[in-house]
Amino acid sequence: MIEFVGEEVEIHPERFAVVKLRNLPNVSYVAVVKNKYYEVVMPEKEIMKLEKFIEYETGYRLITLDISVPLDVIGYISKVSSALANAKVPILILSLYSDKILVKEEYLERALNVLRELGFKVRR
Amino acid sequence: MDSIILHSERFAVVKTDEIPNDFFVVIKFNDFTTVVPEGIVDELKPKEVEGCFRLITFNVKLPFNTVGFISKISKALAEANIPILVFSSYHTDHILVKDELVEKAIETLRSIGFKVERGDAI
Repeated sequence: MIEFVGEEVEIHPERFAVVKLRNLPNVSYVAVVKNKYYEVVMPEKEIMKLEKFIEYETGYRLITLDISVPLDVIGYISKVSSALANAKVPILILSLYSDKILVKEEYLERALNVLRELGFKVRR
Repeated sequence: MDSIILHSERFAVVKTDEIPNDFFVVIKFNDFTTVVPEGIVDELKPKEVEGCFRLITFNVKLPFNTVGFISKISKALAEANIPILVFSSYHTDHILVKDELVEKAIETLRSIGFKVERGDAI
């Protein structure tokens, strides 16, 4: 059983968008997943600087789980994602060392309550 | 039936100060944490490297309000003692698994209903 008591999560003050593009844009962004397209997480205000995009989804808040997790830890994502799924919170995850979770603004407080119940302290 | 694609190439997780020319994932906060094809690691100036990862892409089209997909997959893999890294993208998710555990991961995903396709390099 993984205990999260004493661990912290940080909520980034900005709202983010997930944008699908054919090329890597010359704007400020926090994450890119490249599959057939570039799928880019950027602050919402950057969208208006884009000349072209395929589609986007706005209204995300970014939560960083402020634990530096070794890459071979088992069950950490499972525990966090199960707790959020049980509370019916849809999430996007980016997991590298310290995991990042994107949740829609309207689910933010519910997500934070779930993380608090797991033992995390919330930092704003 | 939903399928998964196992990509043939191997990937490394690299912390670096610059954006690689070729990558699968870049996460940019204080520095760049990236997932890149193993072949290009030497071209970067890595601060930390961990190699031997294989990439599995879920060949599904998930709506943005999907609940429980990552949870279902990560639970099954955790129960099989397989550590994973998860990357959500627009309509699907990807996971990275160590090479030595990839066959076990594939078997686990088969057991929860996924069909397996072998994919080329991304």
